[in-house]
Amino acid sequence: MNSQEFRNNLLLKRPRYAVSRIPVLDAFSEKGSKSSDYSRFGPYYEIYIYAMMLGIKKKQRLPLPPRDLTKDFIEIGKWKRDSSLVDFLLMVIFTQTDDLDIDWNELEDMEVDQLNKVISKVVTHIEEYANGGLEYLEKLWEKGELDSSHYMFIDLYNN
Amino acid sequence: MERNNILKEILSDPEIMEKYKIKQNSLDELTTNAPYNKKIVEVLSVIINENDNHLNSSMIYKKIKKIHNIG
Amino acid sequence: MASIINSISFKNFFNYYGDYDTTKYDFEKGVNVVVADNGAGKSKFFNAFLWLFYDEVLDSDDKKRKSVKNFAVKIISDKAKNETSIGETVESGIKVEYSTGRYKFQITKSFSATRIGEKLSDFDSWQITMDDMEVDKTDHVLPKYKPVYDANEKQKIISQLILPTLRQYSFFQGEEVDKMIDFSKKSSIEDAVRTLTNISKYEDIAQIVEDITNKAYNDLNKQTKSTSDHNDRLDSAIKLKESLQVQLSKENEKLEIQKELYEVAEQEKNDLEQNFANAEKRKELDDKLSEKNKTLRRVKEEYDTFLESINNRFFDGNFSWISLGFENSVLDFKHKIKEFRVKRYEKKTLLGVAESPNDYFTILPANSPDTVTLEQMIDGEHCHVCDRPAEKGSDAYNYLLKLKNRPNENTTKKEFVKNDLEDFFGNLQLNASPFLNKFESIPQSVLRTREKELELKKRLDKLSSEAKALKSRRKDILIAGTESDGNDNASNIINQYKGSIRRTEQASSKIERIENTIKDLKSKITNTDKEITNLRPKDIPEGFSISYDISQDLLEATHKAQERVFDKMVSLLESHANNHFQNLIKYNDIQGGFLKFAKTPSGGISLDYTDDAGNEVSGASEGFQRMKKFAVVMSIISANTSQYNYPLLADAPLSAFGNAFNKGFFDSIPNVFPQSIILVKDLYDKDLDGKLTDLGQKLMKSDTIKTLYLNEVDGELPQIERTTKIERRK
Repeated sequence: MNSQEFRNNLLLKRPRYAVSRIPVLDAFSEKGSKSSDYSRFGPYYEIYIYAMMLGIKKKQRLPLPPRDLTKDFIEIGKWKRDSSLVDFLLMVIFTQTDDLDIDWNELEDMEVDQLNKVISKVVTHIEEYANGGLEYLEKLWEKGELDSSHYMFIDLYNN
Repeated sequence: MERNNILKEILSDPEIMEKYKIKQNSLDELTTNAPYNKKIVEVLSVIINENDNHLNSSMIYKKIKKIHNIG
Repeated sequence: MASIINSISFKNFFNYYGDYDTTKYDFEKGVNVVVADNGAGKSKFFNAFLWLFYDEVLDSDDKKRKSVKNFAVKIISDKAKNETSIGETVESGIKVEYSTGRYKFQITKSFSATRIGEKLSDFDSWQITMDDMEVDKTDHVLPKYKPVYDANEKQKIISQLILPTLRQYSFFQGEEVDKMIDFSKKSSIEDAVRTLTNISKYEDIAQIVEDITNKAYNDLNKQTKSTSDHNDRLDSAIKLKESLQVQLSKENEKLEIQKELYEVAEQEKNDLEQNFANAEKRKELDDKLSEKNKTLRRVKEEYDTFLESINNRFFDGNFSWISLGFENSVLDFKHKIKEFRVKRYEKKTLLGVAESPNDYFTILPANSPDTVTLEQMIDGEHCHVCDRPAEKGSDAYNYLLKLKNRPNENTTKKEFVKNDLEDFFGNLQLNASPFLNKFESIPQSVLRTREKELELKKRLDKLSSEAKALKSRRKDILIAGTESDGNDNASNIINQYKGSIRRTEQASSKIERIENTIKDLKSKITNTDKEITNLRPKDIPEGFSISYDISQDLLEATHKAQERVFDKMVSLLESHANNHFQNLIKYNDIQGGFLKFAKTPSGGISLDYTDDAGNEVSGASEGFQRMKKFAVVMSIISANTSQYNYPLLADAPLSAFGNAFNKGFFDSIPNVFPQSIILVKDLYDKDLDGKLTDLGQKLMKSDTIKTLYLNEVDGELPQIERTTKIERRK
């Protein structure tokens, strides 16, 4: 597998989210409900990315429930398609070699199926941090501790 | 007294004062009560007083006729 | 003795919910102010007095007065109605306490309503019973109220509060100031003069003298006929006089008709002027308003879009907020990729060496550094061999590059790893560059975002309140003039206006002509009369001719006296009005000027404002016009006696007056009225601390203002729950 193939395989993946997180996703994305008391992102993947990064910051990682209680959504390659956002995200993710339990140089010597397993690991990593981040948000939301200003997300992120 | 003021006001007309020879100082002291030293004063006083007594014009005219000795 | 209102209380009266004790206003001598927004009890206050004096209230829907009994259901507080179940009774009423020097009185007017139906606001759902009016009296020495039973005395007590003839000048609602003193209407100036003078006595006397004159004339003629001399010339002279008199009375009739026509046309002209001015003003405001709204919409859109875009800044490479806090990750990545490359090249080198060591060693010149070192030197921009700096772009650097990039003569590209992921990682770093260099600038960016938002919000708020102010001004114009959008057509109004001017001119010239004719006739009659006197037989008892003579003279003198009294009073009103007017406008930057009371052809008075040279000043502001009229009202009061003994209850449209006028207004009022109760809405601002505007707060501090109440309605509550809350501030 070369760089291009590796990249493409990764970008074709569709991460999953727990169905139980739908209320949170809806509450904070414009594709969700009609109006909201809180600041919102646009499509689902935006709040998803934010949650993932938040999860990584707060070191909150939560495995997904069994598959039938999850749904997938848009493939990674289509996240803000014409921008370099995904590259940045992947940079951050691939840096977490301990968490992912990989070694970059070893990747180059792996067989295809092993490499694909790594890709799956990366996706799981994404999913679990996103889940953790969503859970974090959900708890604050339920407790009414979320600020209803337009700067809610950046303030939370900055902490 | 209102009646006196009305009397004086009406008689203060210069033409009247001239024709009936009413002098200013006597004008100032006019009242609607007797004695009257001029007919015109008497006529007007009767009219003013009896109007306040709610007499109508016919009744007042009778009184005035007496003043002029015409019945 | 001045009557002073001590208190006014309400029970379930319109939006005053609760018993008399809960909705009570205590007033004092001097100026009392009640601040209320529309709908918070302002006009209801008046209704209490309308009930007190006339057993009527004003229906705010059609602006007509209705009897209390017939309108009762709408009078009862909605909340009280709602709390009354079928079969139960609710009471509604007003209570007024007032004092004269000697006594204090309490008047209560009320009714009971028993609910018999479902629909709260249906008149059929309630059975109304009017209560007897209750009047109690006490003296000030030993205050204890005792009821008054005699019906006549009860009525007298009510009248005493403000005498009926003076009520229209003492008790009025804002818009009425305009209509009330319209001296161009002959009747209203006559009313005022009648109220202020004993002119009715002169009228009575003139009538009597006229009757007597006629009787004397008839008697004289009877005497003449009964004497033997038959005088044809005398007869025809008498007949002539009679026919002249008939003509005279016909002319007088014509005159009255023309005067009325004049007055009607003049009134119409004034109304249209008002309307026209209003229509123009309204159009001006409409234009301003639509411009303002357009801008407002644009800024709102800008603002909303901006708000929505805030969160985009996470993912937008120009702002890159998502990278906040990940500096270490990025450094880590750079470190890892370097290590990755180092290990790769080590691997590659080793493989290269294993495959063909000679290739490796022959390719590079002697004493050349190995590839790994080369990489290090290029990265570090430093030549370890010569121990010299080799900056990017320098010859040394380029040489190192050339060395590194020396083509491998071995054409077969030997793969040394199963998966060449160098580009994968390298490209990640390359592509992500917009997100890699913003860390320090993100806090600034967030700050600037907040600032921009605040700035937009400020602009939005300013535009919003400007639009609100325009709307409120427009609404006031609608109230002041007659409104119906059909008449808005400016050209229509102009035509009507021109028409009414034409008609006043026509009437005016006709009046002049008729008056000349009358003058003519009168002198003809006088001459004929002289002739008659000469032609009369000399043997008639002189009493008859003297009687007739005196009556004629008295008739003329009485009419002249009546005119003098009228003119004197108008003159007095003029001087009082000017006095008040100067006081009212003394804080304005207006140059002098006088109010002139000029007689109109129809016998009314027009109020002209002239400058020092006597030229008419026109085009003055609305507030100014109101002030003029207020000055006249006050003149009627002050010309009455030196001290007006009744309270003033008025609705003051302060916004129409303007700040300078308001100061003059509050200064002058106590000079004329021993007590005034002024209802205003313009001092209320629900968004301010203390809910009072600047002027309101100034009044709070002023010594002339004795009490100040604030009425409020909680607009958030549903209609049924909405009641007026009274708060005494002073």
